[in-house]
Amino acid sequence: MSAQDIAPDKLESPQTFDDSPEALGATLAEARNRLGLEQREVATRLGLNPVLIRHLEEGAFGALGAAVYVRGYLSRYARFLDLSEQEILERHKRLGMNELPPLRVARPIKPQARMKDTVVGWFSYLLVFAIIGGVGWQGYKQVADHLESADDLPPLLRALTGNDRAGLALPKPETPPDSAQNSAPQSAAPATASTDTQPLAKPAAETAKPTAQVESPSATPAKPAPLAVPTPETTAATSITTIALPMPKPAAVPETPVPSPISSPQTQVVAEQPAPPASEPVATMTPSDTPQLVIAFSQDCWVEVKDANGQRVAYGIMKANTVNTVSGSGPFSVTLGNAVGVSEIKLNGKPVEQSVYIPRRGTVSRFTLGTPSPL
Amino acid sequence: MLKRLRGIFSSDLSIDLGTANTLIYKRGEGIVLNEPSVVAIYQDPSRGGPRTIAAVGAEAKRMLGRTPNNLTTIRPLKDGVIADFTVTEKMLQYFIKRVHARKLLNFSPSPRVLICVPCGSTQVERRAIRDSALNAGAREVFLIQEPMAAAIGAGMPVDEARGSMVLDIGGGTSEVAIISLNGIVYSASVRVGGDRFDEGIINYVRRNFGILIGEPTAERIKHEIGCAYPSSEVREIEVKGRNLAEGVPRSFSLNSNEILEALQEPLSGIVDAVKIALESTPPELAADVAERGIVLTGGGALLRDVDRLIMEETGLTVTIAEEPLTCVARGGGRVLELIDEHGTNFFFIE
Repeated sequence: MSAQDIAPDKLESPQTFDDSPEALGATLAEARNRLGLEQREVATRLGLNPVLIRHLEEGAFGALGAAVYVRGYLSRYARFLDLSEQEILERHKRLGMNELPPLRVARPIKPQARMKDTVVGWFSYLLVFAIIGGVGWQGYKQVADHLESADDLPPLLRALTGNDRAGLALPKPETPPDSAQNSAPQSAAPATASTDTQPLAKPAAETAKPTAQVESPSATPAKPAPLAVPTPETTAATSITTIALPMPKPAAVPETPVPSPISSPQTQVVAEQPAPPASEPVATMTPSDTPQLVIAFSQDCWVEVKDANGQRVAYGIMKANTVNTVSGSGPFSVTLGNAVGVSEIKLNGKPVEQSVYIPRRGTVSRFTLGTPSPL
Repeated sequence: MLKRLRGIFSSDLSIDLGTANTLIYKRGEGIVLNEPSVVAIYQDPSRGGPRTIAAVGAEAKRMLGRTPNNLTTIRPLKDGVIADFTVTEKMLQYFIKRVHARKLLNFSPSPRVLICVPCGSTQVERRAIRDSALNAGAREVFLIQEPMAAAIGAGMPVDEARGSMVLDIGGGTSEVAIISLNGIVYSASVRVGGDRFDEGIINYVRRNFGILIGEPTAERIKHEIGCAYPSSEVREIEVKGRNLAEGVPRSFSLNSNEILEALQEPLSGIVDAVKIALESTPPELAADVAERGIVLTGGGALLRDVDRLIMEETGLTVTIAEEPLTCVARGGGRVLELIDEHGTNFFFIE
């Protein structure tokens, strides 16, 4: 916009011009025209951009940036045009365009991303704790199961042998069934153990009531015995039996009524048929056609036996004066913690030479017995 | 704990601790104090007697050069940094107390304080300023470089990705800086300022007239007829001084052209600093500066035609900021208002 564009009536009222940017620009343009200069020429002589001169004369001060710079341009242009610098700046000031620009942080600094300060952070913490807790609990459970299975086997063996109830003393051989039922707790223990219904680690005082249980069937359901190792889990191909020497006859098994809904089927399974398939090796009778490993112990000994599939068929601490029979698909990988405590090992009825399982140094012995199973 | 309690009754302050003047911007109120950085100290005449503060600020400045033996006027800051730690501390303590109107409870104030320091000051000098403010009762002390505060106070868009050049001519130092994106790209500080102008006038008068004048007189000459660029209008002033040869006071007149000659040396120091800054500026920013020009702040910008001098020397547009004397303190005040929101990780705040 140049001075010629301004209507003559407006030129007559300077007060109106003072209050508008266009009027201020027109004043500059008019002064330039009086000197007979072009915008481009002025820009060259002032060393400024021609666009900037145009904006000044159009009163488009907003396009020139911060007010402090506009004041500079106006001051310089006014000097060049021989106008009153003070007056031009005063008129610009009256336009109310001298506000300071907002002070912004160019790179906004967010409050430091502290996780604890945010809801997301709290949820993240909860999630992390939940994951850690879950993993920890799983690990704990696995260890607990492992320990439980490790602890279960010896009590089971103890229960089968009757050593747990009668101390470590061996029961008398060939005890008559009647006397065992009626009076002797030593003989009753194996009988009960063979039914697999009694708690395996019960103290002798509590378990010394076999007679009453056998003679009065009503008493049995009142005391449903928890099963240490459930019989249905026994595999057909792999089984383990630990037998006390000598083994008393399980006279009480057929006669014992089992009203308990829990113990009854298991007792029948043990008595009538081989155990149903399961992954865990348990104490049961062994089929005769599978390779059989018999280990007799003279001292307490830690044992681990794995079959050809790598499945653990025997594991735990075997008590002294017991015989451990293991059957499964050969060959067997045997680890003995205290090999000196093993008095004899028989594989399919044939004794194994001591040089095989007695180590030259130390007590731990690792060896493999048998040939691959035809199965 | 006690400081925090006292802080409840205190306002945040931005202090331009200048060599010549100390300005205080109170948050929410604006500039509340503008006093000369002068302290008058009374020395007890008895041997080894205690020293006490007799006057601070304008009152002390009136005593400058007119004191008896037991009274000394001290300017505790020199070249923008602390020259006398203890006196600076007392002066700050006095100013801080003064800007805090007496409240119902007569707690001594413990405000948060932002102090502007020259960009050329060393770590030791900054530490001295910080400690001095803390000892004066400040609860928390932030330091910001003077050119940044000056640019913000002048209303320059420092946050833009464009170069902005500011020249702050203070009492003891002149600071030149190129700012972009809230940061200082280049800065330099020369120990030339209002004091050197006064010194130049004193030396000129002594050398050419054989008359000795004092600092206040030199300052008055500078304010009244001082100029930095030849002008068609020549102004004169009548001053009095002591004739060195006769030893008696004499009156004589000075004109603005003579003062221009007297100021040539310090002015060339400032111009050189500006030229060096332009040479050191990255090309993109130099282009921005060429388009937008240089903004002058500080008391030195009030010297007549100093903008014209720099314009002629550099060929750039030079703008004198509005109220250049208070730009630094006002800029500091604006920064202070952002500290609560953004912390101190911006504007080179320490």
